Amino acid sequence: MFKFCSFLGLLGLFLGLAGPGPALAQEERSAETLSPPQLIAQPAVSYPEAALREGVGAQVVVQVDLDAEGRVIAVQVAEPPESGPYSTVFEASAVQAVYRFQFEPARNEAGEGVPSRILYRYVFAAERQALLAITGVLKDPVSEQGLGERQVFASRGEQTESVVSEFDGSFSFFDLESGEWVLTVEGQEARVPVTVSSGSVSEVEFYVDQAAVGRQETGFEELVVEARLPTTSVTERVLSREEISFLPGAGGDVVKVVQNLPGVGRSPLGTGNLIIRGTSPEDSGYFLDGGNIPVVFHFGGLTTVVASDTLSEVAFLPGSFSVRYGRILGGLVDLRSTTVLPAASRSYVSVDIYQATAFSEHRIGDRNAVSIAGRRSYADAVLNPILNDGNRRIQAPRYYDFQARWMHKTDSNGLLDAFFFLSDDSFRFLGPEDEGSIVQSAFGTSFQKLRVQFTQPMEKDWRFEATVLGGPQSKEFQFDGDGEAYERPFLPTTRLEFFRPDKNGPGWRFGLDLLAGVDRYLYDVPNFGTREEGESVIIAPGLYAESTLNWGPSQWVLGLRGDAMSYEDGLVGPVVDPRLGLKVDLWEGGRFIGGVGKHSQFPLTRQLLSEGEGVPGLEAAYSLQSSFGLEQVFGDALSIETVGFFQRLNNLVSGREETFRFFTGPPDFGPFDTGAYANDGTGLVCGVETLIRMDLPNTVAFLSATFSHSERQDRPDDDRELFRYDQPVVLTAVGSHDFGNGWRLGSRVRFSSGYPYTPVVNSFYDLQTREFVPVFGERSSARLPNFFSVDLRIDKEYEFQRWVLTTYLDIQNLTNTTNAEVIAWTYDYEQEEGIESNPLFPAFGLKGEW
Amino acid sequence: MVLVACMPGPQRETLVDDLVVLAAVPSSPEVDAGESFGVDVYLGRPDATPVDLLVWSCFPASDEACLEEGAESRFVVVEDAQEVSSVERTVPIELAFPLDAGEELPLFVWSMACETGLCPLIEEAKTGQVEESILLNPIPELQELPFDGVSLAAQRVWLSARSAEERRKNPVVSASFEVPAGVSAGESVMLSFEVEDHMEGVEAFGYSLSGGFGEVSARVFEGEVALEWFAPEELEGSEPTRVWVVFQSEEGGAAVWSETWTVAAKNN
Repeated sequence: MFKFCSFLGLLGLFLGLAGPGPALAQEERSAETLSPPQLIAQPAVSYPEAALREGVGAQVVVQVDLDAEGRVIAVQVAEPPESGPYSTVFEASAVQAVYRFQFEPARNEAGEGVPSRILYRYVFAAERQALLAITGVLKDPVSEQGLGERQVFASRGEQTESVVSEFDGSFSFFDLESGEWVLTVEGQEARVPVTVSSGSVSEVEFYVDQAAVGRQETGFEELVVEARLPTTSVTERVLSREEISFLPGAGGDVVKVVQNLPGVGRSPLGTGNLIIRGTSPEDSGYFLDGGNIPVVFHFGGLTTVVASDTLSEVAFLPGSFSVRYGRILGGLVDLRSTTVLPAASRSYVSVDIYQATAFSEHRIGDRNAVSIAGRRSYADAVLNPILNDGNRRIQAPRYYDFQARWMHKTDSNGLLDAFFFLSDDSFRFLGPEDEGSIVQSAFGTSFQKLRVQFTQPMEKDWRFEATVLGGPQSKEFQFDGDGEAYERPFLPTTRLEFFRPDKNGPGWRFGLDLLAGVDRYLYDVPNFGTREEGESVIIAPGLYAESTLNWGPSQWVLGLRGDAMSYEDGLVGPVVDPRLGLKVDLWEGGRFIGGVGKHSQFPLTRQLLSEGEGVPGLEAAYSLQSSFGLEQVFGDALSIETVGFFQRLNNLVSGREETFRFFTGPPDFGPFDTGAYANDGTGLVCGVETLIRMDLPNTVAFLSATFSHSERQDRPDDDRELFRYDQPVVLTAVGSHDFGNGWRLGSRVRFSSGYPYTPVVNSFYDLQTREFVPVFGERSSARLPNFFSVDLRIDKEYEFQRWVLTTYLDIQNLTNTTNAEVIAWTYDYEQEEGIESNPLFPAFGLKGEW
Repeated sequence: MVLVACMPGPQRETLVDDLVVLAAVPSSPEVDAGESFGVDVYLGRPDATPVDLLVWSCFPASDEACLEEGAESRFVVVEDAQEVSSVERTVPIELAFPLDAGEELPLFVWSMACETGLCPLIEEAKTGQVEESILLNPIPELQELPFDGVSLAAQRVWLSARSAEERRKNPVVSASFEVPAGVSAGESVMLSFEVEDHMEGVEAFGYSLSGGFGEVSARVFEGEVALEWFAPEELEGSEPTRVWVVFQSEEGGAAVWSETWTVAAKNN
């Protein structure tokens, strides 16, 4: 990337303001009594390319307002460039660049930081190209992820230059004199000597010791504290919030974007169910900082139950994951909350056609930060008056969530992080008002959770992390006035983990993962089977150990996890899951990745308890997973990853499928295995997935493709059949381009195979109930039509003096394609009538941030 | 979210546009071992294609054999069946084992109507040779048969040792409206009935060969029930139409009222 030439063409006109604002008395504005602000970092911006080609330069004088901590709070053009075809672009580029400057604040005689105003001349000099001298990237030594927004210094004698790394960790120095330079990173003791010579570019990889970062306890710079312990999974696709919040089809929701990645099947009716590498949604899970959470989406997959701004990144682990995670057969999505205390207070309010969201975070002193967020849908407020007719009243989908968080950086550089979050969704049909508005049918989910986490760096690179996550949760179902069902587990999890990265010898991880509490359920819906009620104390401890060994160009991750579960009538397990991961650097930018391992999952409580229809003595189901692939990075802009996977599923619990349809979601019509529970089920999954990703300065795009086959055998005497979530082909292309001036355009194109289903080939008439009863054909012998959708998103950002307004238009199913999501039939089953996904659906939203 | 508007007009489920067994009304919905009972099978036939009817009962003696002995006691074939066919069934005397007070067992009376020659089961029955396992569970037979021109239905009859006074009874129905001689296209007729309800919970289900009922069913309340029938909106000339109302008790027991009237185009 061409580096524009900028230098401080300082007018040196320091207006100097003291006190809290511009209303202060003029006599207090004495420049002589103040030390002026000092520019300490100026991140790069792109020189307008066309202007550069034509050799057009410009100067823009901007007025910069700084607060008492040196933060840039307002930038206005005081003197525009000479009129020309690029003058507007130069103006915008200059303002954009200066907003990212970092200053040491102006100080009064007492040395206290005070607000100030300066004039700054920004010079775009096209007559000479800057010479790239050093290019490099900052990386986390364990996860290999780039570390953005760190200040990097290049020193030579008394001369020091500094830049701030981009979000992907990359940084560049230009126009350095030839000679020996030393690179350092803020908060790091390590010094990297680099030789700069004319006509060549030095490339550097700088591995940042996260534990050592965070010594800056004053100033407005971002205070980086101890990062959450990294994982060591073979395939881990991480998406940062900044990176994906503007992608189309997700409405700014970072978690929904995961569904575009390879290995993820398209969930029916947009429910957000996780269908990972041909496994069931019940076999995969959502985690928050390593702890399992019950639901992650509000009704219909509309939005995530925690505000996106609470999260720093979303990690998708489709299989062969670290022993840190257990009790699931499939894959997982780990929502990772921020570990960085915010540099400043920040708030926003956003509204769209179905919900309103508010978020606010505040830095309190040097060591504390709090944040609060909430969301409330208002579809019910709009729809209820329309739907209600007095005889039958509908409470339309209504949901809300709330989060509150406190982060505290300890004197010993540890992080204490308390995060409370709750969510509530409900949908009800009520009877006539004059009959007391009795609930006729209803469905709802809710939870209230507190996660407390403490992370502490220790001697010799060791780190300790303790996490407790718990709180009540509930899933409720009522039907026809006389049927009720609920699942109300209270199963807190506790994790204690010691970790050491593999930078100076083998890496180690030891942990205890304990799940303990009470599980309660009631199923009393006559239409769905016999009444069952149960309650059991559940204690499920898990122990794990993992070592990371580096041998030449290869990295070996050896893990072992043991789990057991006690319940009212006995014990499941113990089970032992060994796992092996391997990464080998093959050539420049090319790497082999592979993993094999066993992943176990316990039966559900209702499948075990003898007081219901459970079968004590059921064993844990397990999958034998293997995956092998290649990663290839081509420069900074392009990367390709292809992974093949193969899984065998064993000991799957079969039976009684008809009873719990109301909790398992579509598509699930039948025919059902109504026999008693048994570990009779087996399965086979294989496939290939590819992710091609392109990162250009103003463009992000990726193409994901998954080709897979998934089959099951419920009982030993049954034939093998296609799994009900089998999708042989899933293709997704997503792209977003920043056009400048706040305009951004993105599009998503999706194609996926339809789900298999069992066709109805005839029906007979039950004259007593006067209902037709379906006669099924061969199981899973039909398939829904393929799915195709094009989504479009347009964002426009307006910057004002003290706040930013973002508007967006997110159009789903732009081509208005008819997509059957779930099959249904006419009353006599003679004709199929698919339940279709949304037609063309435009959503408009506003977000005000300050 | 799906919003369903409640528009007045005929419900699709009430239109008989294919061969269907509409009802199988036993002379008594509750019987004892060794007793005989009659079954009136009502067919909805939208055209004049010849139809055969097979009626049978089969109480399982094992997984593959009926308790009823001999072909004659197991099934009856009615060739070229008309709208109503009456057959006689007998409960095997072997079922006369002691039942506890109030205990009862369901017996299934199956009716299969097929356009002549379409169903192998009926063709075999005409020769007196039917596999008992098929009589026990005829549903797999349907997997090889088309939807059109075939109808299989099952009616429960209860076996008990209760006295005749204590047994379930069929509802007794009488029309309380004047049957129209003719109806113009687009018009509707309110059909009201008085039901002598021997048991709790009787529901009325309407069917017709053209037009349709505004509601699939209506519950009998205080011995009365009414259903609105809608004539077709468009019609050329005039044609007769058949209308049925089936009264089904939740506890068992059924009754059928049916009538034919003429529907004429609006300008007739």
